[in-house]
Amino acid sequence: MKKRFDLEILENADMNTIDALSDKYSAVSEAETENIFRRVMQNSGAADEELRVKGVEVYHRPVWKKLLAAASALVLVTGATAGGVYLYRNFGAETADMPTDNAEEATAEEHIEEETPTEVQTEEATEAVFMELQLHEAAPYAESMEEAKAIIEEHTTLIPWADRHNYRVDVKHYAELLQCEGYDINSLEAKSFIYHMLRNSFLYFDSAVGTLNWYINYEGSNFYPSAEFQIDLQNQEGYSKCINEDNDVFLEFFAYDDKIITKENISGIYQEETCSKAEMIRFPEDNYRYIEIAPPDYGLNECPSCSINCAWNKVHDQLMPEELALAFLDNFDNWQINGISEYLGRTAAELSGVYDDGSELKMTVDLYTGIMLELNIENSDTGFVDKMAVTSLQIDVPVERVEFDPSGLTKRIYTD
Amino acid sequence: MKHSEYRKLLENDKSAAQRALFRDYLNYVYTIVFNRLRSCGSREDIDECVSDVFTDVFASYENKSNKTDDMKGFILTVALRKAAAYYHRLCRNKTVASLDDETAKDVPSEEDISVAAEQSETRKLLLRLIESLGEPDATIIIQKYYYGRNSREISEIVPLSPAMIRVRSSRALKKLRKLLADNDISI
Repeated sequence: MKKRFDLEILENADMNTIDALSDKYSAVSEAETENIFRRVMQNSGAADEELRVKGVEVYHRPVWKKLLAAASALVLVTGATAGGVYLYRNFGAETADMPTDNAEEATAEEHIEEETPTEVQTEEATEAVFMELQLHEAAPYAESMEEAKAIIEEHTTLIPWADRHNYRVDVKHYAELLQCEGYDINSLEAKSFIYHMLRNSFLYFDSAVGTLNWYINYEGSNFYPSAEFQIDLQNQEGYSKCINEDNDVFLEFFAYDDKIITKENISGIYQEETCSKAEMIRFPEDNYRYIEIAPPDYGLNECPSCSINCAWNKVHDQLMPEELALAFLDNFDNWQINGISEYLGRTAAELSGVYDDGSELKMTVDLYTGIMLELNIENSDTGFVDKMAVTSLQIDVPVERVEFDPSGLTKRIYTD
Repeated sequence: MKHSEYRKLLENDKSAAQRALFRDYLNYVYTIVFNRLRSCGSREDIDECVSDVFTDVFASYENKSNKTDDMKGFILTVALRKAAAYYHRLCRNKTVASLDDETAKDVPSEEDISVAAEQSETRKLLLRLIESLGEPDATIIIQKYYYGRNSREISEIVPLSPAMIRVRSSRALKKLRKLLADNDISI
């Protein structure tokens, strides 16, 4: 059995090594920093005034107050914090490999020609027009970040969000094909279709209302919080609320009128971010959304759905699982389609596979929308477990806006 | 932060002074403690040891018993001693030879010194190779394979989703293995 890679050689090192590690790398996260400081203060017998939230606060960093419900605390540490990271990443924070920020788009727009599908839909046309399904290929390779960006630009169109339906493949055709007796559901065509749906689900529904749950292991205990959501994808508005196992709503997420509001019910604090609706989105071809690059950069990912921010992060992961699909399914050798079944009354494909690090993966995908209905990842070597499941779902139903009421709440203000 | 600066701050606002000192040196202390206790302590043990270090440092400055201006040197000493104490406590039930034990090795031979020197060079090279992966992959590799964090924990340090961290760590590891092989380093 292959020995797990480990940097134990760095243990019990000389001070030069320790200095190098401490100078270059963070040893603790922000949440851990606060936990340890709290412990130090308790050891020192200090009062809780240090940690008290007082009125409209000016924070140098967000401070997550210890909560009564462990699951709530867990969400703030893993859910909301990770959600916060996710939000910052999508709301214009620059990263080396995600050219979805405004500066990148402003440059890219100069070079992108607006295209429409090759066949024009006229009032007389009675048949729907579809894009051709791209059969999956290994990611293109570039020697540099500049070259990778140029490759993506060549294969990207800027499409109006309101017209995104024009870029669908013939879902009905492929969904029926996959259920035909005698058809090889693990053919390149079949797997390319499933992969396309996962990476382009935002093309295939206008609204979604439902519930989901997920699994968290926190300090040795298992938790199964849930969320209710109603997403108006067409107008890029949405509302999600997160519920712990005691049925307390601990987090609410509002997206409308070019803003994102996250409300932490336990602490009574909310934060507001500006987020403009994406009228146009960059739409690279399926086979040109990820480019391998030579070191030191070696991956550039273009994710159209990342510019759509109307769903809280876990809800986004299920409804628009583009990045999860890239993470786990880009290597077609790692997974297979086991069959077509019914899940929540919807026709779904059951997938399973083994990821590069040995994790076992099971996924259920809605054949007609690409929504990820269920995900299970388990690694018996590392103990890593990730589980998410949609527990109810209605597609393309009317959605009424849920508006945020700040009464009695404290607004979080950040300073850099 | 120097001792004199800390003292000044301590006189005006004790809480702010302690928080500032904590922020300045936490990464350093945690690295030292983790490096010592990685093989025998849990995350909880390490957190406890780190918090004990700062408790002692704060107490030392409050008691005004500490007069040295070399704050970093002082904190280093406290951290090393505390980590050593925790190490011996946690390894008490394991087979460990004490220096006081008659069966303990004598003064290390020249061969041991050269092994230690070689290890030091290997570590230096390893860190350089990891650094050559660029960011955020270097951080992901260190967080995952040295600090033992999972993707979700790493996503609190590196601004990527856990899914992307898993993709990048897998690819970064492949690259690192090749670099290690090219440099004849076996881990």
